[in-house]
Amino acid sequence: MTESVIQLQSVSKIFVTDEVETHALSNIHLDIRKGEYVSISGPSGCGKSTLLAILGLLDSPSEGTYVLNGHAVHGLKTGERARIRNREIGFIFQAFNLIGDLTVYENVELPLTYRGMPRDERKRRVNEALERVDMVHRIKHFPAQLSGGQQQRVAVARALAGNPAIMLADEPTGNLDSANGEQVMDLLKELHKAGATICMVTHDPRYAGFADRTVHLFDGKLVAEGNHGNA
Amino acid sequence: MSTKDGNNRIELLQGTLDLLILRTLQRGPVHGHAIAKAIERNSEDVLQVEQGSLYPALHRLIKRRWISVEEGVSENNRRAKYYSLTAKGRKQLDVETTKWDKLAQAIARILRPAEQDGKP
Amino acid sequence: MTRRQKALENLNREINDHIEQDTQDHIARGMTPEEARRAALSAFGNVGLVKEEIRAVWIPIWIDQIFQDARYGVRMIRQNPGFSVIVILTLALGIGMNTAVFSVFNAVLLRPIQYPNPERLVSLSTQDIVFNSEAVAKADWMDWKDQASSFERMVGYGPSDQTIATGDDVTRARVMVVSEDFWEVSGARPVLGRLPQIDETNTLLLSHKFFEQQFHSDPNVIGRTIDIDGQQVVISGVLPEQFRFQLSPPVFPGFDSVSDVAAYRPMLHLPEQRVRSQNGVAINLVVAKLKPGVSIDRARTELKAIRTRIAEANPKWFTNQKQLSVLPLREKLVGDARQALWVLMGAVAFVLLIACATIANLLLARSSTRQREIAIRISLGAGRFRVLRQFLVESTLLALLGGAAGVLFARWGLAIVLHLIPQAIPRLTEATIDGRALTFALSTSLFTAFFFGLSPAIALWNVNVHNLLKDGARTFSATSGSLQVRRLLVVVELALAVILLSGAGLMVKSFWRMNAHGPAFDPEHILVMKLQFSGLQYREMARQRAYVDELLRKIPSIPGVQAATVTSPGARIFLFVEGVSVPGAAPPQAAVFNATSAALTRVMGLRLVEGRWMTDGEPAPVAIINESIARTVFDGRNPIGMRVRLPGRPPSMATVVGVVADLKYSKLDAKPEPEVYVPYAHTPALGRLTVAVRTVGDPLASAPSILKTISSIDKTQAVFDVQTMAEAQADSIAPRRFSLFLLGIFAFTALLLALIGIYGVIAYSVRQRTHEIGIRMALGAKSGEVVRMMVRQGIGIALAGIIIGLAAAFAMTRFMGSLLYDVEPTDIETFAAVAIGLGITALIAALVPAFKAVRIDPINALRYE
Repeated sequence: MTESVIQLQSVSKIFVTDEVETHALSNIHLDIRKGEYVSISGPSGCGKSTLLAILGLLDSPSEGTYVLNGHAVHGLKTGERARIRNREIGFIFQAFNLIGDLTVYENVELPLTYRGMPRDERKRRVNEALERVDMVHRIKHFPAQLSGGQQQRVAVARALAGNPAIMLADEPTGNLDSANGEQVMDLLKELHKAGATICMVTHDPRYAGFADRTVHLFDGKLVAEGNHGNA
Repeated sequence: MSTKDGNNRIELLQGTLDLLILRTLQRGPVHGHAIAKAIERNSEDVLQVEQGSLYPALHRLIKRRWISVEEGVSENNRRAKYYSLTAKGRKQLDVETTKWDKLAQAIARILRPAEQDGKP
Repeated sequence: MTRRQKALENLNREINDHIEQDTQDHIARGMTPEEARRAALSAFGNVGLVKEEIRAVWIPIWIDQIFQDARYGVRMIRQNPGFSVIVILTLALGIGMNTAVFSVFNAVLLRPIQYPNPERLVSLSTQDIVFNSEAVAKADWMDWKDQASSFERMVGYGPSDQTIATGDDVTRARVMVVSEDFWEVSGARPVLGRLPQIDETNTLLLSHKFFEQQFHSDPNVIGRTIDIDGQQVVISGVLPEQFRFQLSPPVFPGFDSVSDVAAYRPMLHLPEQRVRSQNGVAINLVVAKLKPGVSIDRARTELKAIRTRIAEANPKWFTNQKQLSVLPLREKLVGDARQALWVLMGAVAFVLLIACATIANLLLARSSTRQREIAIRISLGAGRFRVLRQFLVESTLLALLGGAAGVLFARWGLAIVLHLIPQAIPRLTEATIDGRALTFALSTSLFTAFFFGLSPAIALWNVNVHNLLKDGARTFSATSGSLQVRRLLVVVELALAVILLSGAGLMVKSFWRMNAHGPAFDPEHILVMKLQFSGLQYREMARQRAYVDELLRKIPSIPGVQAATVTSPGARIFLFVEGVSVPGAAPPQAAVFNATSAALTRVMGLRLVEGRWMTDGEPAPVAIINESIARTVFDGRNPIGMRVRLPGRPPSMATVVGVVADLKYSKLDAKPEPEVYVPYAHTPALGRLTVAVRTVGDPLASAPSILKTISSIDKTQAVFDVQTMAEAQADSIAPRRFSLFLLGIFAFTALLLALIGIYGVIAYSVRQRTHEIGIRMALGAKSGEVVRMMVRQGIGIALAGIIIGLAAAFAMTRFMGSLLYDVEPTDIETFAAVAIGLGITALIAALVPAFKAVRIDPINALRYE
């Protein structure tokens, strides 16, 4: 019954600068199914970031096809990509990337606003998402008033609120101490159990183990897939 | 999951749903559920409209004043909203139908050489 | 709100019914109720999403979103109060100046005359191109009125300054004598009393202001008899407060044309005025109202035909120095002010552009701190136009605040200008911040919002979202594109500043030229005042001379007075020279005729070039001429000893005894005129005089005792317009002072903003290159080299700005030709001064932040990223 959320076929990414071609990704095949928790790992410079940028529709592949939730998205225009990004993808960043001049509530609300959702619906969803990360009590705070762990939980709530097809986490614990890092990882695990599809980039082997499956990337190529056996 | 069966299902081109709705309303006022059923039935179940998407389309058409809506009583004696074509909508249906015919012919002309033995 | 709730409820019911019906269908086909329901739900799809989409069809979501953008914008403004205040003040300055100038522009050029059907009002005149006057002989006006069919009404009018005895006081005021059509054309309706009947010529209508000031708004003045220039007239009415005299002001030499009209008198028509004789004709000014649908060209053609008939009947009547002029009244009223106002409007628009560029620059400087925010928004699915819209909403908020503050600035600015130079431009005092000016301010604000809101958005257009978001808390450098944009903006600012400075510089030089005078002439120590003989006893020339004799005897004995003299108002004459001028033909040039006394040279500092000056008590008529006329009329011969004809009946002959240097002491912005000086004892009539007194100290301090002395001679003769020569001269160039004042302020503002711009860019670039500078210094670069490196780019920007600006200024200053005096619009000296001055200040503005770079501690700089 499980459908693919993400299907990458022969995806390559080539950067051309002053007659030098850099193959950031070559011939990547990746299939992420609904409800899966996949981690992508590899040394820095291996192409993780590029891959995540392509998955998150922040960048487009030079070659190959990308089918996201049943729609081919590799050839879309910027505006169309923004629309799909908004609906299908929830980002969690290493640096949290909350907007400093917006409250916790407004930060979580932002993607829903971009979607054009009416106010009452937004309110319901934001509260629901903040409840799930246990941050309802900080609704009026500004990010600077929160600890790193709390900020990341708000960022997770923001990713959740839009009910995306997949959550993309880029080193979500990178800026956190280990206790807070653990907490965030537990939160992701919980969300996964509740049915969320998650794709996480990390170079930390401890956290990679949280995922069902780990994809290793080296020099822009997929080198191995490891299954943690709890799919 | 009748609407997501994959191979047999034909996704509607953008704007086609509007045309189908207008066509269905040509015979007189119909309520929402009946429109969905009529489209399914008349296309011999090839076209499977996700029924929910019918309603935003109906509201768009109301806004463009191509169709109008009024309260009525359905066959099982419940209050229901009946949609009907306006004069403007009737005109639009002609325009859209002509456009569609042209499009279909054009595509058929392009595809025909590849279909020499009748079936793909 | 309830309507929307009801609609939502209806929608919910409809969807539920749909699913229910589908469920029933499935049950009918043999499914269990649960299976049927599940199938129905799945066939329907995501209910929440469907509702969302429908609601999006109902209300355009962008309204909600703009509201959110605006809330965020307000927060950004409050979050950075210093930044916001600078932006708002800069904008307020720009918009305020523009609104103030626009309101003047509006009052003078755009706002129609407040009389009914202003578009049908035309000014008719006969212009004497030699005597530089315009008027219509009364006989001509009467013929036009009788014969022309193009006009509905034809008003004849003429101003005169008259002595009015109001009972407790004697005052001099401008009285406008108007023909009966005036009331119809102006639509005037008295607030008190009534309009005069046709034959009621001995009546007077008061302006509201005069009524307040001289009669303390006492309604009982209606019907009272008062004395005007020795005549008894009855006050018949008071005009409304808003009523203004809006027909074209008179152009006579020596006549101050901007005084408020205090009262109106009906014009007297005498049968002998229809007679055309060479010796003195009654003249007046004429404004006519065209019949509906009649074009001004048709009217002109018709008047020309009538003139031709008059000329045939009176062969000696017209000379070719008299030309018919038919102009729309509005055009006539604006006159020379048009070009000045256009120049000012253009200049102030440049200031606004510079302000916009400055703000765009500030926003760009800040945009590097906002890159991350924008990147986050894009990663959450904001399209580019969403981001653009957010910037525009924010800039619109700033612009509206700036615009509101600008309107306040405009009010103050206008009040200051009106206070300083009220007589600069006709109808300037009518300028107010009205609805049209407010609309202008609003649309200007929105325009600026678009202009400066767009530039940061463009600079952020190609941000690399992923790079910005992936790393930790590192700060981000601006894209090199944004610095390019900033440099370009500063170049534009500087170029615009050069244009404004060049314009202002040319005007400063004009002023300098206008005020250039010989060392003996000292306008700061000369008191001037006007005197008009009134009353029957002064009709005799002997009485006038006796009065002046006594005046000139008494005033010099007042302590602090060095010398005193009188001059007649400078009527123009043709100076016939015996043996040179061809009898019957007009000489090549008219001359200003001055009846004066021996003291004139001492009062004014006139320099004698040849021969001798007059004495008080010349036995025979003498004349002294100035160099201008000596060059033209005497055909290259030595004028000393030649005889010239003086006006009078019969004309007398005077011997030229001396030549004096040219001196312009009345209108500073006119070329020196040919002048003839004659002792007042030998002139036929004086009528109106200017008394000029040279004092040792402040002339205004001596004024009271001088006035007392004059009053002691004959207290019925009023002296008026008492001021220093310097003030009188300043008034003569009020329009230019107005333009210079504004242009100077604009240029100064422009310079300041441009310097701030260049400072900002260098400071920013220093900040950005801290790391690089640290490495260079760690490797042993000397501080001089670092400063040079930083200043070099400043010089590049300044040079580009100055060169572009000079080229543009060269092309544009020609439009201000009429504002200049004795200076070419492309005066190289001025341009060079502007370029050098701006270059030096720009260098200083760049040096200040560059020296900061030297103080960078290499160790800190290398750690800093």
